[in-house]
Amino acid sequence: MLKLHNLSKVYRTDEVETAALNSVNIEIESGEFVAIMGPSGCGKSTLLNIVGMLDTPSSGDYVFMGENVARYSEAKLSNIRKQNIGFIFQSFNLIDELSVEENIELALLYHNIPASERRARVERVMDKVGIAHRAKHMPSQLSGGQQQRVAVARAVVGDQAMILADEPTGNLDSAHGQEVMEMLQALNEEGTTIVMVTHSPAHADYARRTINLFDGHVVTENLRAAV
Amino acid sequence: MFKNYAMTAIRNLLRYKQYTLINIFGLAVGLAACLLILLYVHFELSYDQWIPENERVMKFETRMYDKGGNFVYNSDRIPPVTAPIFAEQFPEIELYSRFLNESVALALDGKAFEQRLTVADPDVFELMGITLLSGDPATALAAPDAIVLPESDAKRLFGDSPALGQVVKVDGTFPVKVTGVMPDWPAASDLNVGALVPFSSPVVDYQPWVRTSWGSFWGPTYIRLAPGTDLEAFANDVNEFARRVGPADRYQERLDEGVRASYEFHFTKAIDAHLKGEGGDDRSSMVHLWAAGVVAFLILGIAAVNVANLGTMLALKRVREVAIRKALGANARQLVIQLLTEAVALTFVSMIIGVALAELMLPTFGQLMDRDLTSGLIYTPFMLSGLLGGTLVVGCICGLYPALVAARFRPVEYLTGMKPTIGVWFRNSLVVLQFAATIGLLVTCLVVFMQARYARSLDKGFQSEQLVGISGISKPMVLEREKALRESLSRLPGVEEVAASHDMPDENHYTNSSGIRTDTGVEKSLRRVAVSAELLPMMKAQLLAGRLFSVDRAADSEVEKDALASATVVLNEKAVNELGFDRPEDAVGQEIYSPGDVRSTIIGVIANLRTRSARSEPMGTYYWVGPSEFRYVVLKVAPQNMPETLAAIDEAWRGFFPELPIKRQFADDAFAKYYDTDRRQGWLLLFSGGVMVVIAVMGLYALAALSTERRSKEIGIRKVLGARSLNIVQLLLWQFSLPVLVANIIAWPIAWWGLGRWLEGFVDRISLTPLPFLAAGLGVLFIAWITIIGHTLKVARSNPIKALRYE
Repeated sequence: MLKLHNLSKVYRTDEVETAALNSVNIEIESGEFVAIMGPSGCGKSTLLNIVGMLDTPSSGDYVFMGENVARYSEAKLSNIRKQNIGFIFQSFNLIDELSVEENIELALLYHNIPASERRARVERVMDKVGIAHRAKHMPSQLSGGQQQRVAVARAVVGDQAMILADEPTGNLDSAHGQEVMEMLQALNEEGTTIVMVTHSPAHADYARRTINLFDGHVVTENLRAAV
Repeated sequence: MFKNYAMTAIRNLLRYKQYTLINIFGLAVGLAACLLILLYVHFELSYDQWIPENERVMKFETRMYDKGGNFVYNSDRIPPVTAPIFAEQFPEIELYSRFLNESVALALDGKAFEQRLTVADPDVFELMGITLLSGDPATALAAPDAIVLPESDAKRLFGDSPALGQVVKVDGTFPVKVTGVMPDWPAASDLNVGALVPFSSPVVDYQPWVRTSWGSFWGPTYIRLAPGTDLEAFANDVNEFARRVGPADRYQERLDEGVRASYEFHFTKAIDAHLKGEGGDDRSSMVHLWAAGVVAFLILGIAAVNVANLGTMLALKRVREVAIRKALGANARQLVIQLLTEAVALTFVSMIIGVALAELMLPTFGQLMDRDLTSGLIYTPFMLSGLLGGTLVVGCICGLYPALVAARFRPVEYLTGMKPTIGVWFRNSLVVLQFAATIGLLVTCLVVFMQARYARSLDKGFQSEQLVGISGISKPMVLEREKALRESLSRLPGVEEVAASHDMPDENHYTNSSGIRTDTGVEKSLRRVAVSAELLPMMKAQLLAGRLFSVDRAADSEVEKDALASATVVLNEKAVNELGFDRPEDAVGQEIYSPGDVRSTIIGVIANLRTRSARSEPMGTYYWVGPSEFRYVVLKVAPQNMPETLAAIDEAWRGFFPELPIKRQFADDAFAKYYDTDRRQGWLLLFSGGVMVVIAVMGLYALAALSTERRSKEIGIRKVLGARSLNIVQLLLWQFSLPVLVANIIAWPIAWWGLGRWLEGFVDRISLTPLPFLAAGLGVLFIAWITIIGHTLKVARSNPIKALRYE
């Protein structure tokens, strides 16, 4: 699916240079479920942003589905991203002014898909995550767990091959967190590649592989025995 | 405590420099514009208020009735000859003075100066409250050769040496002696007064009939009535008396026939002349001033709205501070006081800058409005307290809303991540109203200028290009040699044709009229215009039937002694209609009879010649060859070598009348002057519209900046989901276009209605089309886009993760 080779990211402010990622080499196969762990500031989010093509590396290569996208323009990246990658955030990032179904539909709005088909796909995916009965509600009227389910629905409504989840359970209580993890697992079993940043070892256990980052380096990679 | 407030206030203002500047300058510009307009309105309202006892000072006016007893029009004057007759008869008239203007040349040491004269009566000084700088008011206007000079004219003529007792020659013919120097006439006066001369002055002999004829009108007559005089009863007495002493043909003969007398005298307040008087190119109207006042406060209102709007947005940015203060125990009252104090302080700074701006712009503005405006009014205790009070009020209004939002807002909501959304609706309506006012004003601007352009391009019925009128021909010494002058001018290279006329476009509006009778028994009063035989062909008057006068046919120009029509006359279209002919062809060959039963044959009919502004309807007119009533020599000059030609004309004139400066004017320039008032109105509108656009744009700019900042999370999400920069730009442009579009819907019908009413004041007017409305609407939309495109692009291009990572 993707391959990072000697990838580095350096942030420059006026006087200080901070290396967020330092010569990272990672390979993720199609259909994998990978968890990324590490303490605050170790570069997890930077890694996820680069993998998600929201940010570009300072040096190194990023090969995504056979294409080296490391030096691609924003417009090109945006195109690849919207076809292939879905996002789930810790703080859900739903638009307050739009209803549940409109929030989900937003992910299809920029794909040139006819309105009727958009409707159908939104309804299908709402059924799948069990939020259909809340279709007309606004995000502020939902619980955190429900909001995250909407976010998951939005991430997959475009049939994205890969989902990037940035601490998807960070704002949820354990019951709701569990729910979301099961949903991700189900998606993975259907073939979606999932890359998840998490602080919770329990939730990392859902992944087949865990990558531990520290100060911008990959320190260990643990493969979980197949169940 | 207060120190803490002041510190946070100042730091906040500095932190949001851009918005602080927009706030302060928006309000200052709005206030400056408002002040300037108010100064103008105040100036217009102050006209003639300086006249002492002005509640008793009246203008003597005349209602005119035609031979059928029908009301024709109201003249704001009376025949000058009647003024002393009435004053002598009625003790109610305490003081009176006529104001009859004439333009002459004063010669001194071989140099000639142009000088405006005003024939006035000895009461003028007491009546108008004028204190002479030198000379004795009791005798200053006693002798026929007396002249009282305004201070600046005295200075112009004699420099610093005393003017009193000096002798100057008028129009190269008779000497006058300076018997007094008076202060310059106040600018805020409906009267346009020059140097004063008495009614016995030889200047009046230029039009000797004025001394005797009840049919001659010249300038206005002002009187001061005894206290407690009942206007209506007194007017009745005057009219009763006039019926007894007035000429039989205007009074007794008509009354015997059961027809109303020609004249009915009445009074209007002198102080109302400027605003309520009819016509006059320099006059104003209450409607106009009300409109200006409304616009002034609209501008200030819009500026205040901006501050309130921005204040709300900034208050939202300060939720954190408010939340912390609340968490630390500040109560709502303290927060309200804090935010109000800030707003009032800000408004105060704006006020100071606004007053300074107004001072700075006043000379330019005064020039634009053609008024001698001074800023003294601003510094009167009344205005100052008004400004301070206004500062407090506007400051409170601007600060109250944010203060309440901040005070009502509960810190818990902030801590749970909710953002207050109150005020969005309110803010949007303010923005819509602001743009509605701006669009309305711009539409008005466009239509006013379109009408002015239309009026200028109006078919005048003749070719005004290259026509030059030389005025002052009616002065006896000029009229005597008028023919020789024309001869000499016609020989100049560059002068193509020469003619003479009673009528040319300018501010004088000379109007003579005669009662005309036809064989069919129709009796009508027609305007009488004397022309030389060459004039109509030279002006390329459009012939509808028959022929024009011909120089080769001597019979055309034959005039019996004292007759007011030549053997042949030419009518305009309007006169043909008024005399009851169906078609121009029917009139040709018919006879008409002018006063004294003088018979003339109609030889031709021309289209109406328009020598006045589009506001006045052309009058039914007959043209006759009448050298006794010439007032202008009219030249057609070649477009090439114009300066040389004009210099040659001036030189030829000097050869004839060395002590009379030439007064000449292009017909087209005179037309342009007709629309001075409209142009002034247009400038005022453009000025206000411009200020409004600037203020609205400043507000929109700040609002867009703050609002896109608020939407940055949403934009981030959209981008993550695949939105391109273009999609985001579209989204934001639409957000800010919507208020402008709604504003159009509000502004258009109101402007349409108002402009329709305004245009009705013109006889010839443009018809309202959607074009100016669309232009103003699209123009404002375009300006709005330009204003916000910067933010929009910045936000659309920014990296979404920044917005998404930090909540």
